[in-house]
Amino acid sequence: MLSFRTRGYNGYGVQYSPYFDNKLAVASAANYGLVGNGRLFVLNIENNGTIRDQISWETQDGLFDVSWSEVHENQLTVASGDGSIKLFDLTVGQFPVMNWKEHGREVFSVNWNLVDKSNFVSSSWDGTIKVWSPQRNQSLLTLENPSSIASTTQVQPQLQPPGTTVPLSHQQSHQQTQNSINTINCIYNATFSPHSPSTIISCSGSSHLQIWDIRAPNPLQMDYIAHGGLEALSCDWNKYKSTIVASAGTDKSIRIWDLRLISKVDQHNITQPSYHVRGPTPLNELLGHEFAVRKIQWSPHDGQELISTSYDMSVRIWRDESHEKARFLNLQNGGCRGVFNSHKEFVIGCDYSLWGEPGWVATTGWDEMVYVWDTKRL
Amino acid sequence: MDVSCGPSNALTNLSKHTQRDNSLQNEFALRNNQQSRNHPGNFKTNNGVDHRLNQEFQQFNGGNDFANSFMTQFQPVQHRQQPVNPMQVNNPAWVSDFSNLSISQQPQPVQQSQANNLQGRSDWHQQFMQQSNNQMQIPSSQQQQQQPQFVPNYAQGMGMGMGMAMTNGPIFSQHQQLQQPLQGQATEHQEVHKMEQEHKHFENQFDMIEKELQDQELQQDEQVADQTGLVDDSDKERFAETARKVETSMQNAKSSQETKSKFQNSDFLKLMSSISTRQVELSGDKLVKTTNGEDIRQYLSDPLQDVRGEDGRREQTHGFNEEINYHAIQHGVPAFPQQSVAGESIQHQQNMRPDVNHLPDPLAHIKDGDLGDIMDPFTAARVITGGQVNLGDWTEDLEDGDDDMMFGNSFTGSRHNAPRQQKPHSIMTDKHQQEVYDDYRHDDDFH
Repeated sequence: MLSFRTRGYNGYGVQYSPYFDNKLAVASAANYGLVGNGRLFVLNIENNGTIRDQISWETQDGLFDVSWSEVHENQLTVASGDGSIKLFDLTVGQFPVMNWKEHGREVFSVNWNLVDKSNFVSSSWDGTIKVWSPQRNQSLLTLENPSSIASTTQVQPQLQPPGTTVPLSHQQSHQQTQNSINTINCIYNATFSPHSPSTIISCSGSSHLQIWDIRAPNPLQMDYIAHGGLEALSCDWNKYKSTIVASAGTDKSIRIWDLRLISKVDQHNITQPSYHVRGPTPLNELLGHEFAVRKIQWSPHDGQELISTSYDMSVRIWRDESHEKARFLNLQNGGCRGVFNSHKEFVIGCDYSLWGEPGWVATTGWDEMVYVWDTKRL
Repeated sequence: MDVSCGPSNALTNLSKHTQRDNSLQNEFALRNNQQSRNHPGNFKTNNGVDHRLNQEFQQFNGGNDFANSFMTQFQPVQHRQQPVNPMQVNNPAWVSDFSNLSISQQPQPVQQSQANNLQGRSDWHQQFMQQSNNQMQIPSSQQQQQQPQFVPNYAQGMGMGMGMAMTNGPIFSQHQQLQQPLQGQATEHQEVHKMEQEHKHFENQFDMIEKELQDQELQQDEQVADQTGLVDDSDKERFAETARKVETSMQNAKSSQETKSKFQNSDFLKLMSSISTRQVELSGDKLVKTTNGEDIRQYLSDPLQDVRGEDGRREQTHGFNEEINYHAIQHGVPAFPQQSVAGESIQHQQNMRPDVNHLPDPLAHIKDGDLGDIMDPFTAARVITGGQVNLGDWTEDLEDGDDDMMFGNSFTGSRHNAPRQQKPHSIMTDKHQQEVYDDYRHDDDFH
């Protein structure tokens, strides 16, 4: 296990470089991201097993996610807490080479298009998802919920007397109390599909999982409730099966969905009565984390493996043995494969390495540590 | 162009009527003519009128290239042909208009008179001209797009549908041509000026709007600056309340023993508890201790201490610095092998910090030069310890001394005067062990 300490900054996102086999980018923020600056580190994994800081940049506000460029080997984008997205270049120190300021609130995720490679998507607390090109100063497209979800749920918070609300999650910004910040519109994650250049999945604080097609005149293709009302914090595409996705949320579970079984937005579902609010049934549900699951990622080496990081300070590796054609087949082989406990605070970011022996991952968390370890040796 | 192949649309279908060879049908028509002239079901016209219409239609077509000519009528210059007018005079005006029209591309000799004729005859031309006047002011590139919009108006008005659509183009383009020479250069000049004026007007509007926006932004910035500078007490209270909630949820939630113990040691939880008790609070863009207003990150351990230590070490080992202070600590602060340094801006305060972490120097009481000429270890030991070493405690290893003899013939003095033991004291009581030791010690002896 290799480690690096991002001293003074709490890690939020980590990604391996698609061009260099020993490079990692880590997005971090001071004071756990509550207030203060941010820092982007680019780390090199040396041959002797140490990790060295190649270059780092300090930013005005905390950084919540990082994504390497797929077309330029030296560039990477970060999502910032002041609503801006910055593009940095390894050969240019101290300042970003591009700065896009369009989102109104914190940008929680940024993700590069793996197929098209010429654009990237960002999602923000202001409820919008924007698609950008690194050459253009303005966003290419903004995706927003056609009908505001917040308007239909505004009644509820006022009915509850103060002080009796049970906090559902642990990050203070996730709580839904009378006076506190409303994350109903917050989109935590938006990811391009690795199978299609124009399909995006997003998950929001209103428990909705949405599939968008940016070629269509009405981009929203699918919209359903994934975690029974609790916030959906992360979503990811299976790298081998183009219709399988996974989502994770505050209900401590990871759910695996087959998109073919979920009705599209323009198909009026006659068979399902209106009082069915639970939404579609997942293919599989992975339980084991003791607190909300913050990030999941499917393995690029195995279509049945995924990694998850959680607020219970652990990282778990899972095996999904569900098969869409045999939904009740239980091979007793699936479930949690291993638990990684070295982090001493919440674990927020994770990424699989594409290089070298399959199974190596990097994780980062609020304990200011970045660990690079092998999932097969847990 | 043969339209029997290729895309089929209304145009091609119509042109098929002209181009298809139906000469074979004529013999049956002739034969049946006598019989069916008075037949009520015979709705096909008899030959005379048929021929005339056919001729007109052919002439209207202007030969081949029906569809193409329709398509190309929107190009700048289109001319009409002065048609032969076999029609009777008592036809209504619009019929004669149509008899004059065809869609061939041959240039028309008399444009002026024809235009005048057309204008004089029917009202729709004037209306059309008015419309076209209005359209002139828009840049010409848009004109082609405007034309199809006129089709339905006149088609409905005149009921000729297809014919109108086809002829609209050439008329329009012709009138367009006419307009400009008719009104001469004055129009163009005026139009250009109009456009310039409009542009200027637009720009003025934009400037005004920009100014308004800037003012608004300034106002907003001021408001924002006011707000961020001072974090109200109510915000701080809410912050503390949220921290309390986080703390309670972390501590009261059901979790495994391991997780619970991790939570106990969690710095984040400690921060949340200090915020909830208002010991640490928000101030601007940092968290400060309420007691003294210090930033809580102030005492973060210096990230550069490793770098400085290494630098100091490197400086000393580079080259062979003669000014090495043997009384001072040679090595810097030991650095953890796996830790690297955050790249913060280096503040060059000191290069070396010799005061940190050193052991006392055991030879500090020996001044330089005290042991100058002593070659004998026993004597040196006596000097160093201040006479505490006695001969009885001292064991000389004669073999080492022999080596010295081999190499150092220049050794003089006390070496030969030192007390010599005949037999080395056996260090080990066990004879066997002594033997093993001796073998090991004399492993490389020649004999």
